Amino acid sequence: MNERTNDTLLEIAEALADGAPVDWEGLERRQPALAEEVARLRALADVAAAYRELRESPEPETGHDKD
Amino acid sequence: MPGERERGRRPAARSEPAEEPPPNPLESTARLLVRAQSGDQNAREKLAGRYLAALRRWAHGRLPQSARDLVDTDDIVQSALYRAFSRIERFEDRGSGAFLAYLRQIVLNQIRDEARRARRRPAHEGLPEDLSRDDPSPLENLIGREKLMIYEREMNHLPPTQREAMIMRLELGLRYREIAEAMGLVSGNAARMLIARGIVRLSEGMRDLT
Repeated sequence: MNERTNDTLLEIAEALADGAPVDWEGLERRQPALAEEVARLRALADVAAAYRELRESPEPETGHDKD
Repeated sequence: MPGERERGRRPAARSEPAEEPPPNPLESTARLLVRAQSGDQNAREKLAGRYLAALRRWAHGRLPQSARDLVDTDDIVQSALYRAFSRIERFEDRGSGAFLAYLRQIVLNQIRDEARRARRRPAHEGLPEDLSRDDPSPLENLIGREKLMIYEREMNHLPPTQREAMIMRLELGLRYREIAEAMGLVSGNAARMLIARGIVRLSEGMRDLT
């Protein structure tokens, strides 16, 4: 992996870690050579987004939790 | 050396507003741990308080509905903290945020115990076996069981330091400054780079899903 490719992936990774929006389709269009790497990062972004969504959902009630 | 990898990269592109100093400077986790291990109750309470809210939210997402009817996440986290502190003398600090990973593992073990207990309770006897066994957690509902399993498998392949930093950021939502403090890193940006590299590394193992 060359340095430029690595920098691109690291920038996506930073956005993912910060919960910042990522233009996944645009990335795949602009960088077709990175399509596979971008798709994997996108799968991981789904995991991070799920954790974030649960963190940001209302606090569980005290007593037995009821959703 | 300022790292070949960083050359040409924009510095701290997404600097957190929360990088400002907190109202009360944090005592390092490592120092609190040493005090807690020598029996200092105040240090134990500070440590517990530092991670209680994050662990509570994390546990809430991991607890299946059936188990939630029997026990709440507060009880699980409180009980896990009690267990952790009751044997804290034996905890070996690897100096890299390992304490939070240790707490997370105790909470996860307890959640698994509660899920097993919930599956055995009489109310579930009327359910088809596969339904009572596969009661998903809110997290599994959002991600899907397979993706979560692959994520956890790949997470376990990372070096411990990187894994712990990523858990703190992605799962527990800690700020970079807090992660740096807990792990003894020089700055929030050092934590940011450690985590970004970990994400790229972990994503390589997500190929099963693409």
